[in-house]
Amino acid sequence: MTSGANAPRSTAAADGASMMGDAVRLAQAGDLRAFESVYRAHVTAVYALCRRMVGDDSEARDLVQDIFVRAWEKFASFRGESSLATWLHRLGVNVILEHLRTSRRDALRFADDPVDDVPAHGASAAERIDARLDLDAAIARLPSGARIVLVLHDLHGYSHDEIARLTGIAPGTSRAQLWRARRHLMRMLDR
Amino acid sequence: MTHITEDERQGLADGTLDADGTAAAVAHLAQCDACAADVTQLRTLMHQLHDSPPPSSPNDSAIEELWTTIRARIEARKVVELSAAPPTHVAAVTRSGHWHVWRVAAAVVAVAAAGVVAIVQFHSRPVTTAAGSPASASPAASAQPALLQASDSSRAYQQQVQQLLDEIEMQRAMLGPTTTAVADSDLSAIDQAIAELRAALLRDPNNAALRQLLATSYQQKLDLLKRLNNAS
Amino acid sequence: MPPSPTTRAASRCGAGLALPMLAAATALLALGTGARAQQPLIRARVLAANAPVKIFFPTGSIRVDAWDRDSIEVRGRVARGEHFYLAGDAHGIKLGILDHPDGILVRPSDIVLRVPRASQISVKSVSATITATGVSGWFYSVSGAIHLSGRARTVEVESLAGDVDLGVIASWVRARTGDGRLVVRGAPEDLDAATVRGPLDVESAGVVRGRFASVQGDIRFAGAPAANGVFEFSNHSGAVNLVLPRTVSATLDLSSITGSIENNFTQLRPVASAPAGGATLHLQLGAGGPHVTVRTFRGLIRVGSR
Ligand SMILES: [Zn+2]
Repeated sequence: MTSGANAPRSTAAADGASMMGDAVRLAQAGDLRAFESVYRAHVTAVYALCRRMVGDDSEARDLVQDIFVRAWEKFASFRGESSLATWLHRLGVNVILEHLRTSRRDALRFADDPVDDVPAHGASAAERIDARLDLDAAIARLPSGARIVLVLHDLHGYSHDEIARLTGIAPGTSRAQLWRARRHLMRMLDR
Repeated sequence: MTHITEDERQGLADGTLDADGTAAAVAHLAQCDACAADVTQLRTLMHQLHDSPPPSSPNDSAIEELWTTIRARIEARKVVELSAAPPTHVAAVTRSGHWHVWRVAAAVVAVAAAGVVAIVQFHSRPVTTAAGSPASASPAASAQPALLQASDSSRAYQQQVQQLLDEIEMQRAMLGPTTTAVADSDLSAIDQAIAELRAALLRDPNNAALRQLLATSYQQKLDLLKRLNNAS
Repeated sequence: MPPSPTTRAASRCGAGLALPMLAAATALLALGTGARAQQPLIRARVLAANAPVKIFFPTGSIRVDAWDRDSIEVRGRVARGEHFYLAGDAHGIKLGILDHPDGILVRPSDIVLRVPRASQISVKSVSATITATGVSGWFYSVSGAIHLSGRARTVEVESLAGDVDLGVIASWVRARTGDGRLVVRGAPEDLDAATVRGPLDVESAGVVRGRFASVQGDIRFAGAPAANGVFEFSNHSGAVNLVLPRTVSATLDLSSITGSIENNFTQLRPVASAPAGGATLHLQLGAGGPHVTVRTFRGLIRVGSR
């Protein structure tokens, strides 16, 4: 878990191809069809990020839309210093956090709510069996603050300082959240 | 025997514990089955997380459907950017792909341009005042990208404000009359400032100081609404 | 310590929490004399050094002091008929006075807390006076006054209608009031302070990056800007008053859209700006260094020395 390694783990292979380089330049110049090919090359990775960060499929799809619309608008600011996948990933994280900040008031500030425990709806036996089978389902059931930190830290390699900067919580809180998230997961995965 | 701390367990599992700490903790694990088992479980989880495949992606038709909506939203936005009329109803596509009428003040969209940069940066913590310096507000330098950003953030802003207002409306009764009166006066003070700044910008659209002031007023309003929203 | 440290009672909603706490609080209250309007209260718990402490304290007075122990202590008096709760474990505590679900006003209580210096505090109050020393976190009041002092990492203070007084030394401070007065002393390195109609008064030599804003309140800044500092002042109709040391080194960019600028520092006169009136003034004082930007719509900008 080193800091600075916040590129998505599954960097799209298409990124390096020169064909994609052309598409990027065209899209930056305002060519929507070129942008479409950028969308197709990256939608899977962007969706995966959203799905894990918010834990809900339809919310994730809405966010995929938001991220690509935002990407289109900010495309001029993509200078190729990082890979396109990394740029989209960062933009995506920002869009998602912004969304969570407004849609789940205090989700980040009170991410560390010490008394709240595993979500109430995670209680039924059927769901518990489900969760045991599926790590993603378990991640989805984490309280949102804990989930955000876990996804960013354990799946995408962000440091606590970076998470603190992005979310506004203290690095110590991020650490506490992460531990709590892992303990929750262990319990849900029945270990 | 004192067991190792949660700090040490987690640090051992993900390898962030320093060398001295690791040595001491490992020594404890050698004689304590309970802690050893716990750390092993945490490590297994770490491996599982690390090796987990990404969540299954949407199928082809979902990918098509998403693109259709994204394209529609991008194109709807172009309409907003280009129109320079006074506040009107502008059709825009919402997130779920339905057409919906938003009360979008097109003039504001164009005018808020440079300010938006500041609004976006305002959220990042801690504050970096330097980033919102007059240089970034130079209209000549950043007219095009700023315009593009403006439409998005301005819409996002309107949405956010409306959402907060809706929530506050429901909580009004709980705030008490004195607080409500104070908040109303504060809100109208900000709204009045925004109106004056917008009018001034229409007369002098390239005034960077005006744009910054407008951006600050927008941020003030958002701040106040969030504060109000926290009150109950 | 048992090998599995996270075995907390699951209680997600307020009701789940309220029930056992109600019982505990009732038991505690039953010990009181019953004759006084307030019941004495003493509680203590082990608490990890950087654990979160979430407090809801509607009315009365609450004081939070940092200490160098790994525990939390609560002392005070709880108004008769009100219920004090404290829940959580060594990794985090939630405490306060329960709100009445039926909307009946909560009677004022007074408590004093001591918490580990590194704890992450969040205090939310309606009309209580909040006083805190040496602690970091979020402090919110609808209409009560907030006073913070001592050394902290980060501090965030928000009030709708109350006054806020900050005398903290911290790396990051964000403060907001509505019509209340906001006073900042001490040495916040990164300071973001704003009011809507209330006056904003800053007297500090320690600010390195500052953002100050109001809509109608007057802003007054007195101090020596740090050599590498960046300061930004915005006001709509309120004034901005800069009181700087006579020997200050700074670059000042002042502009008022329709208001005026008073330079009591040098002989330089502001430039009248077209088309709406107003004025701008660029001042290079001493060797330059910190950069100060002031923008108002019609508020007066005044620069002078002590
Ligand atoms: Zn042990």
